[in-house]
Amino acid sequence: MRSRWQLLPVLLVVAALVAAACGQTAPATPAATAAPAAASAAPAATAAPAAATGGNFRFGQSGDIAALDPWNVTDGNSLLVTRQIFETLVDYEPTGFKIVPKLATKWEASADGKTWTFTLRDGVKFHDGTAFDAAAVVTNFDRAKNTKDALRPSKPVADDFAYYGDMWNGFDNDSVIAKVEAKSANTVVFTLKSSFGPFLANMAMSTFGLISPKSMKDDKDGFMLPATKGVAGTGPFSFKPGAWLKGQSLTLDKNAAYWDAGKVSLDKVTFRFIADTAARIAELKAGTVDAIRDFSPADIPAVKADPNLQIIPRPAFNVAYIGVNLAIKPFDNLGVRKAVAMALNKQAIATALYAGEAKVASQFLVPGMVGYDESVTDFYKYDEAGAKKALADAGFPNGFETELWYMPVSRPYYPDPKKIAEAFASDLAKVGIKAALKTEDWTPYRKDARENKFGLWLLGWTGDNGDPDNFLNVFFKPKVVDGKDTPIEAGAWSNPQAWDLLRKAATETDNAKRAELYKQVSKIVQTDVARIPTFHANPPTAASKKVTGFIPHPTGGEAFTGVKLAK
Amino acid sequence: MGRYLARRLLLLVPTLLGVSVIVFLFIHLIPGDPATAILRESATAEQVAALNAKLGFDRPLPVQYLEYMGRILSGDLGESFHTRLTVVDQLKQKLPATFELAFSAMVIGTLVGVLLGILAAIRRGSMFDYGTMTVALVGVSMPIFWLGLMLIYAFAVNLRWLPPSTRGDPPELVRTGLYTVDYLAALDLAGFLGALRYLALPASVLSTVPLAVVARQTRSAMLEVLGQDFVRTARSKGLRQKTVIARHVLKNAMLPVITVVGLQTGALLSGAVLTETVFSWPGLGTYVLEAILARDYTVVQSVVLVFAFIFVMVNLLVDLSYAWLDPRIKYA
Repeated sequence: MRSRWQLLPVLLVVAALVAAACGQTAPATPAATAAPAAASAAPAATAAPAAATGGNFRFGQSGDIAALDPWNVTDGNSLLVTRQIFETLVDYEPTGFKIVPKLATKWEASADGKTWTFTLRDGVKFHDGTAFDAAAVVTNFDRAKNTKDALRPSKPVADDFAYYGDMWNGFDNDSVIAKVEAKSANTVVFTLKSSFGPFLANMAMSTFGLISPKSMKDDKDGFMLPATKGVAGTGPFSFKPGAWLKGQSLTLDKNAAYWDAGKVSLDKVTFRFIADTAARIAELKAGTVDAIRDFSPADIPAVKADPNLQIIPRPAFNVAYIGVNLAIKPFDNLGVRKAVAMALNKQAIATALYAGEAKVASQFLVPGMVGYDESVTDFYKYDEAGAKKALADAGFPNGFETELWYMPVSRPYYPDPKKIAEAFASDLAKVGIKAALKTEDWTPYRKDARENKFGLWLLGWTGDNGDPDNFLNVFFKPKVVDGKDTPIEAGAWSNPQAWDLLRKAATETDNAKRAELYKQVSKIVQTDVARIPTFHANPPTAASKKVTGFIPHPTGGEAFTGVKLAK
Repeated sequence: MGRYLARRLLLLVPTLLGVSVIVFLFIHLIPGDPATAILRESATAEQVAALNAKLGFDRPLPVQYLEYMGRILSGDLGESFHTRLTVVDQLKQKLPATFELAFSAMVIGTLVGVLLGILAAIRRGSMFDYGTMTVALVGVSMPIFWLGLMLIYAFAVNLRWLPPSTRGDPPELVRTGLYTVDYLAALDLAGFLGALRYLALPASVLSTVPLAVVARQTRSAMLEVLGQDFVRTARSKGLRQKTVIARHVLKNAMLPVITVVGLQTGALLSGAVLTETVFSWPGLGTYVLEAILARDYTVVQSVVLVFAFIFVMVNLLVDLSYAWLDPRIKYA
């Protein structure tokens, strides 16, 4: 006879599963209470950080770096690492975009804005012992500018100097930099084809960090790869061969001969690559890393509740937007576009889905940037009735059906794209626009957005250099075909007046005048509803309370010079 | 046996050829291209087209395929267009990593699974039997990702007994690439134990499915053999239960179990992606996943070929082992 006890194991397992499922709220990471061996061993309380020196700062990031060559990478993970090894002539101030000296102590522009002269800091050496001088600057810039330069890798590595082409208008004769020359050992002169508003802002970008010419000459094809025999910069931390375990970690040592060594406290920095977000947060909680970034706002409350951890907010420097495609009906109708803009209750979404770490965007530029228009408080105020009326006036009293595309991966500006898209869709539905939610793999998503396949889509942008040109020009410049201006790539919008203003602003070096020009461009973007800016998000860093002196920079790349680790 | 072996090895060629064509077509069918995958959101169509052309990805497919096969035949598995690291170099690091993980998982799964299966078969109908089989069912159905995260939270975050993820520090001298073996070879006990600690959670998680499958298979194979006449004869001869099981039943029951172990091993080597992802274990699974996301065609093609080769060889070994286990089986 079968004993009914034989059902017991089945019942126990089912009960355990049900309990585990109910025990979870719906956070991005499982609540610790659902763990089977749930022992809530309270971690020992940390004493207040004592005077801290030394230590190994372990930073958990979402992926490996692409190469040890800042000129050839564009992703945040790579640039954060290279920032510790290589330095630029000038830098941004710690929390903003004012330009401050770094490897250059003085700089001057000619009256026509076409010549820039930099005086270099004395006594700086690369990690390999060679002197940092004007010739080194020339070598670095020439290698990037000239596609046939002798020091270029034989085959493209990683992003193949993409940032140089982007920020300086192209390579060889297209580049706005005509010549870079060493006038003396510590004077370097840049000659431009025309005056260039974003010049200094570009020079501070960490992608243009200076590499020792010896590293390039010794092994131009391999100095940036994991098996490198050595690569040298001038930065606070140096890299020793063998310290990069591909896919696992990368360790840097303190540069004892750093020109500002007094400021550096840490002995080592170890970057650990932990792809899974939940696992990264688990490592922070377990104390096996000291700081992490790139996680969902939904995880912020859990970090704040942990007595050993802190959230270090980052000043916002990105813009999330909804793209509208004027090539797809009915978005060619201005009234329809206005209705879409008015239908969105952005503030509610900012509060609910960003855990408070976002601001509603009134324009594309970020507050604090040159050209930010304080007088504009909304990009179309949230107005459901107004949206319905605009739709009716445009000939759609009963609304219409369309698609809203969102990306399948978390982005700093849209950390939870699915939920945010659902919120947008529900707002649109209230005014009669029935938007079906669609997504696809991230790579074809970007391709299709660029090729104008979407009617409405979510996308965004993190700024590179704090310059308004970097925000507005990137989105709204015309697609130039055979020398003629044609509608912009993603969105098919055209407005020759705006294009003229953008071109003028790019060559203007007086910031006050540039600000005026960019304000006009922003106004046109708003009147035309060329694209709908939605949020400026602050992607935070989470760290152990033992970490002090960590100052996140808006661009997402900060030097760890002043970071201290309490024992 | 020799002819059989030769025939099986010869069959490798058309098998791998077929795999290469299928993989090549599939990976190229996925929408998106390598340049779009690695450049930023703001890249223009021109920049994308330029990079693709530089990398040679805009050529007609048959041309690309033939060039790729040409290199394979000369022993060059190619390199990542993005990182410029050769597949062979990366395999030297990542294959041992996956092997260490998969082997440990198989050892746990097989040992525990066979043990549970035997006990369940002997105590058929008891609570132990039902309990074990239920656990096996749960093991097969449990999402690995969820189980992994649960164990990380339990053992790493809360109890702090084990590290949460990754592989830990490599030994000073890397001989085989298997951290446990290399630390032992260097007589570094602390390092060896450290490597075991990092291996514990991911290997346990990865072992759940093989454990479940092996347990069930062992149980049913044992039951079948236990029901045969010769077992009744052995028992009536007065042999003890332990002798009956160990010397007579087990060997006969092992055939189907070995089949399952072999298939599971092949599956584990290529299917550890989920476990490797959740534990950030730098093995083949994450390697090929990243390559797919980056549309790194060469890497995907070469790694899948390696998987196919491993799978075929493992199955060949399984088949050969039948002849050893069952003297009635002969290969012509």
